[in-house]
Amino acid sequence: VAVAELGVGQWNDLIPTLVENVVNEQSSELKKEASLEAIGYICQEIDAEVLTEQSNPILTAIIHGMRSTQPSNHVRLAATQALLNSLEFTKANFDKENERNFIMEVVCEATQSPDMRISVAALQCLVKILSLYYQYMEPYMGQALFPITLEAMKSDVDEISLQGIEFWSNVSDEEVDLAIEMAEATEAGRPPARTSRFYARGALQYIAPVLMQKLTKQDDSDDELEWNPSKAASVCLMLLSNCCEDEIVPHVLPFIRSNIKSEHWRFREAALMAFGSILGGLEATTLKPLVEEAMPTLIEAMYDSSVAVRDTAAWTFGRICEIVPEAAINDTYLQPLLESLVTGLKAEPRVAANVCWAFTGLAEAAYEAVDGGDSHQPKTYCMSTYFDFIVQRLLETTDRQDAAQHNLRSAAYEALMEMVKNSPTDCYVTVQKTTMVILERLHQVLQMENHISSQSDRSQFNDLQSLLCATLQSVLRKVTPEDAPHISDAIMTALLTMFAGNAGKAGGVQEDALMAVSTLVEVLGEGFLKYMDAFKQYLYVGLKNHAEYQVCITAVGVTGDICRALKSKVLPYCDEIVFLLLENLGDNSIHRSVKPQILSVFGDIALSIGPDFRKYFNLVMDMLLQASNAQVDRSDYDMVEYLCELRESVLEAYTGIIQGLKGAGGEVQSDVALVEPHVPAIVNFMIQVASEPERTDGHMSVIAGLTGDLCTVFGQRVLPMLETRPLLDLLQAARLSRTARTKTLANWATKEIRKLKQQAPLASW
Amino acid sequence: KASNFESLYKNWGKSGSQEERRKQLLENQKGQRKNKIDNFRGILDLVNAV
Repeated sequence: VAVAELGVGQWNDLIPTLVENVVNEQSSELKKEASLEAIGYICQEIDAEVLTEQSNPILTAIIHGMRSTQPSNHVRLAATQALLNSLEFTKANFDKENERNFIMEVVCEATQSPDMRISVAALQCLVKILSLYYQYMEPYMGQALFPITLEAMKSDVDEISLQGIEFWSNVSDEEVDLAIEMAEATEAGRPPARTSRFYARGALQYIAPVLMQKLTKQDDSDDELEWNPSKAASVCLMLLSNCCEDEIVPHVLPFIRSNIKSEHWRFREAALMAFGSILGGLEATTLKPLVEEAMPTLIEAMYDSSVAVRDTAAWTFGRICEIVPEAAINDTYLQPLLESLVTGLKAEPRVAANVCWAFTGLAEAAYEAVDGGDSHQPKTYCMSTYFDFIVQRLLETTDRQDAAQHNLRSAAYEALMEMVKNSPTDCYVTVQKTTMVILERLHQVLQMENHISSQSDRSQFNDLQSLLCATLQSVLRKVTPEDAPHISDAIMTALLTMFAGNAGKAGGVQEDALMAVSTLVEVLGEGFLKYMDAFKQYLYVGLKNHAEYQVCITAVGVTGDICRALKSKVLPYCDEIVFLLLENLGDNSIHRSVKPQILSVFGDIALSIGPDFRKYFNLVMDMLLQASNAQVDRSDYDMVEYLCELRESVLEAYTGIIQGLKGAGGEVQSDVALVEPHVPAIVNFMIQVASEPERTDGHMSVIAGLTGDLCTVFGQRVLPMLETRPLLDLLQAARLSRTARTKTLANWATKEIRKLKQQAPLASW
Repeated sequence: KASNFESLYKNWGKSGSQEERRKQLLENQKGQRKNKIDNFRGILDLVNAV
């Protein structure tokens, strides 16, 4: 109730009443505790700015309840938890040194409480304070925060140890961000807003041994999904490595060397985990020899008697393939590595799932090693000989009885998709075979539709359909234009059956099926026309799916694909499509991210149907004008990003409409005269976007293109409007863009302007 | 949530590539749209040459 009412300026005496309940000596212990809990819950749920003005009394009550002189542990715990929830809006108090000192003293004192719950809550406060107020931590770090958190890390009480580790994970994460900020500031030639104090580097020698000791305390139970200090330690090492880079090596390598062949599995696994964890932060020159040296031992670890060791070895290979693939993909190690991974696919689900992720990384890395960066597919690569065998084993893995455990089925399909996506020409026969297998599976799955009874079966059934659709996308992208028409009937029949079935009502399945259609449209081009009458009803269902906006976005995207593929043959469907798109734009409840996509698709429609776009012209231009006037809260980063996207889409739509009405080829069709009365508004919008501080490369590119379009279509009449400082400055900046297309468009537009200027003047606008 | 960094542990943060596929599809569609427009402008070869 408080969250609802305080936000709209009601129930103004609530906070004072709760505060009074806490600070009044006459209040009972229960009343104090309940009032602090209420404050805590309100702080947790409410928007921070609502309570900012009342932060002083709230903090007074909380600190009053937290002090070591507080006789009741119940009250002290409630107060500490309330502080945790109020830290976001107590910035003003942290800004004042004396208040900050007092808060820090009380929190640090609370970490020493013999009551474990209070101690954990106080440590949680320290973790959050570090993230929120890093710049103020200098006076407290050496004297208090470092010793408190180091001792906490060492604690045998998991809850306390986890908070100590979490503190240093946060420090590392924060300092990586600060390093990035510093690099950006240096590049921009300005001082950074905040600077790193390098606490992680300073603490490394003390915390690394504790973390490695914690790594050896793996969970004994079968439930390896429980978060514990051992897992937290591996993540902390990963973050420390990202932060401290090569400096971490001398603190970890001796532990790895002395334990990786230990007779106890806990030490072997801990050593492997430490090794895999630190890879991300190391310099290439340190990393590569280290991994090469370790490869034989790592491969051996894939056959270890301990499932935990094999699991971590498989994960480590995944890391290696992502971070330093060249150490694994070479003549010496590739074959034994692949053999060990294929063996691992038959291991326990947790091991097999990690092996699948390793294949995912390996496939990408192997392909990138031969990819020339152009659009040509490589003829062969180092895994060609093994490709068919691996794909068959992955297909078998997706079919394992226990594949529902540890996301194994999903991981195996993901690996399969990545293998297909990154396959060279000489693996095409296997891609063809896989396509047929996937189609057959889709067919079988669709026949199961009526036999599903439980919710859990339904969920697995839907997931499987999504995965099969996703795999279809990846195989379709590799299918040659000659082969595509031979399989498209079977694919489209399966997809239409899916849309019509119950699974097709589930957002995830609908979205993946639409994405598969999108790929099919791209592959078939105009050949997709024969499916339109059967497919259109499901496209419209997707466009009307306002509740699941990702489905709606995908449907909008497919609409654009269809327009581009069918060209003027999309005309019979345009009335319904345009109606639905306009309806979506006018619906305030629809997720905002759908709207830019719709605007861009108007451009696609105009490009496709050319002069027939006239009947939608006024309606669409009204919408574009409205979208041009959109304003957002500039302090909200997400909204600024949305505004940028919206503007780019408006400009894209103008481009499509002008080009569509102008017609392809050199000759300008008369229909484009419809746009002429709107040119001043279009140019004003271009100038507005060009002058904004949020101007992106995408904006520069589309404005440069539109400038050229206006010149070519309307000639000298637009020249005075276009030759304004913001647009000329934009063209100049765009000519220096790092994006090749932006640069080319800017040069082209500049030449078009120059051409007009060299012509004899005509009648004025 | 026990930690801000749970998703970094092993492959816990990997939950499939749907988000990746969405991004890729949007990028692909954007690229095709640009190609089509440049083709209408008659400058596709010029753009692709760079």
